Amino acid sequence: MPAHRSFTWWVGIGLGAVGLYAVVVASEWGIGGRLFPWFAGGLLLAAVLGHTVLGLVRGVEADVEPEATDGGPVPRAWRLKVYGWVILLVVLVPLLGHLVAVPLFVFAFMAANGERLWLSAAVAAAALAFLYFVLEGVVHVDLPHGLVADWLR
Amino acid sequence: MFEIGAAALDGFLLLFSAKALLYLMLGIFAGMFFGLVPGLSGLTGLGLLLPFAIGQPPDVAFAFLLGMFAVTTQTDTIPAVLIGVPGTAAANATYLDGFPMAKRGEAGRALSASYLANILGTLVSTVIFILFLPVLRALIDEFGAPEYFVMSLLGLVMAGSLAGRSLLRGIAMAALGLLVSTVGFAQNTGFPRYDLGGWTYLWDGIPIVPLVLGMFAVPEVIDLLLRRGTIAREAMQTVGGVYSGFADTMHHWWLLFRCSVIGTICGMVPGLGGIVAEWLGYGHAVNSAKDKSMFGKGDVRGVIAAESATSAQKPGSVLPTVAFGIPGNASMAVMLGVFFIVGLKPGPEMMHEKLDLTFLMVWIVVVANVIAAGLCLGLQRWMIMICFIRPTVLAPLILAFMVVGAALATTDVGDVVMFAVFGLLGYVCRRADWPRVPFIIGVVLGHLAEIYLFISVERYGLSFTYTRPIVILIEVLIVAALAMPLYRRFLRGPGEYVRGMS
Repeated sequence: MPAHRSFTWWVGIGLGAVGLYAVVVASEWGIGGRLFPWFAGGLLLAAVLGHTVLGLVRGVEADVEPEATDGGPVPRAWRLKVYGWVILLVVLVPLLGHLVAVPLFVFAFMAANGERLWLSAAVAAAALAFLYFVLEGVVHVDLPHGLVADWLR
Repeated sequence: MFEIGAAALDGFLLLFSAKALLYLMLGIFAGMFFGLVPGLSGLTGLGLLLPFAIGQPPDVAFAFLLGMFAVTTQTDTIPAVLIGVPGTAAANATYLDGFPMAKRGEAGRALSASYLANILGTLVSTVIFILFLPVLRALIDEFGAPEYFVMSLLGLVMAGSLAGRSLLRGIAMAALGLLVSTVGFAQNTGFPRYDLGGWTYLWDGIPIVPLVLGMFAVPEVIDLLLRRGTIAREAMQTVGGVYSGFADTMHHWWLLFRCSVIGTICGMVPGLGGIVAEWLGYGHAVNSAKDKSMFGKGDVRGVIAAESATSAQKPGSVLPTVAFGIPGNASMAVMLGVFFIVGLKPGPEMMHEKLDLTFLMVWIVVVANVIAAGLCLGLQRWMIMICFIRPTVLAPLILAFMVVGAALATTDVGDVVMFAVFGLLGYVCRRADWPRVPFIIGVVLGHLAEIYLFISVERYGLSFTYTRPIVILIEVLIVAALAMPLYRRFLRGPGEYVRGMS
C-alpha cells in the first residue's frame, strides 16, 4: 500500500514525534538522567525513520485485518457507538467514582443494547455488590469516590 | 545438584500452604474462565487480577497469577473442539483437528488427549528446566552490569524481530517501551523525568497495571463488543471416547516429547510464545508423519502436538525471566512486573538464594495444569455454556472491572487516565499492526537496563562493548537476531510471516 494511504505508516510518524519530543526534553537533563532516554529515544527515531523511508520507497506491508461480525464487516455506526461507550466509562469513573459509575455503566450499556431491564438491573446490582462487599468490605480497597463527590463535600 | 534438589522440594512445599493453595484454586478458576471465553486471554486475565496480588507475599501472588495464566491453554481447547471457536489464539492449531474429531463424535477423545498432552508437556518442560539450571547458574555468576545490559538488549531485539511482521516496527515499539519506563524519578539522579509539567502522579513512574490492561485488554474487549452476536451457536452434544484420548497420547509419546522440546525452546526465546510454539509443534507433527492425509480432518496427533508444545512453553518462559530478567513473552513481562512489586529481583538471587521461589513458579504451572485437567474432564459440558453468554452482558462487566482493576494500582485518578491513554495506544497499535509484545517487554526491562547501562558506562566507559568476551558474544547474537528477519525474507520472499502475535 502507498505510504501516504497507510494508517500503519502514519502511526510511525506519530511515534517518531514522541521519540523526538523525548530526546529534546531529555537534552536539558544531566548525563545520568538523559543517558538512557537518549539511547531509547535515538533507537525509536532510527527505527521509525527507517520505517518511514522504506514505506515511501517500497510501500507499507501490514497485517491489518478488518474486524468482522457474522454478518460481514463491522458497521461504522456500531463501531462509533462502541468507542462512545468506552469513552463514556472512562469519563464516568473519575467523575462519579467506581461505586456509582460501574453499576450505572453496566445497566445503561446492557439496557441500551437490547438486554431485558431486569437482567440489566440484576447484573448491575451484582457488580455493585462485588465492589462494595468484596473490594471495599473484604479486601479493604479504598475506591476513589469521584470528583463530583469530592466537590459536593 | 543436591542444592537444586532441595530447592525443588522446598518450592513444591511452599505451594501447599493454606493461603497459597486457596489463591491457586482461585487463580485456576479465573484462568479457566479466561481461557474459555473466545476473545479473552491469559494476558487479559493477568492484567485484571494483578491488582489483587499486590500486597501478597511472593508465593501467594505467584500461585494466584501463574495458576491463572497456566490453565488458559487447557480450557481454550474446549470451545475450539466443541463449538469450533478457539478460546485463545493459542488454540487455533488444536481447532484444525479437534473440531473435525468432535464432528465425528470424538470430542471426548480430542479433549482428553489435549488435557494429558498439556500435563505431560509441562512435565517434560520442567525436566528440561531442571537440567538447564546448573548451566545457567554457572553462567550467571560470570555476569556483571555490562553483560546484563547487552542481555536486556538481546531480549528486546529478539522480541522486536520475532513478534510481528516488521523488524523496524518491533524495534520501534521496544524502544518506546524503554522510553515509557523512564517516566518518573531517575533511579540514579533522583530527578523527575517526563512528568508533564510537575504532575506528581508520574513521579513514581507509570504503574504496570493500567498500562497492561490498556495495551492488551482494551483492544480485546472492544473486539468482543464489535462482534455483537453470540460467540457460539451450537455445541457438540456427544463427548465420548475420553479413555481412548489418554491412550492416544501415551501411544504418541515420542511425538509429544519432541513437540514439548520445541515448546520449551519457544518459551525461552523472547518474542515467540504460545502461538508460535503451537504452530511449530503442529508443523513438526505434519512434517514428521508418514501418513499426513488425516491432518486437518481430525487427526489426534495434531491435537497432541499443538497442545504439548503450547503447554511446554510456559515453564520454558520462566527460565530467562528469572535468570536474566528477560521475559519470554508478554505474560512473563507482566510477571516480571510482579517480581518488582513483591520485592524480588531476577538474576543471581533467583538462581541461588531464592531458588525455591523459582521452582515454585514451575511447580505452580505443573500443579495448576493437573488440577485444571481434572476439573475440565468433570465440568466441560457445563463450562461450555460460558461461551453462550452474549457479549452485551459479558463485555460491559469486563470493561468496567478493567477500569476498577486499573484504579487499584494507586487509587489515583491518574490510573484511569493512564488506562485510557494506553488503551488508545493499544487499540491503534493493534489496528495498525504495530506489535505490542516488544513494547511491554521494553517497559519492564527498561528499569533494569537503565541501571545496568549507567553502571557499565560509569565504571568502564564505552570500552565494555568491546573488551568483555561474554558481551561480545551477546552482541554477535544481537546482530544475528537483527539479521534473522532479513534472512527469512530473503529465503522465503515477502508475504510469509507469523500471524497473530502482535
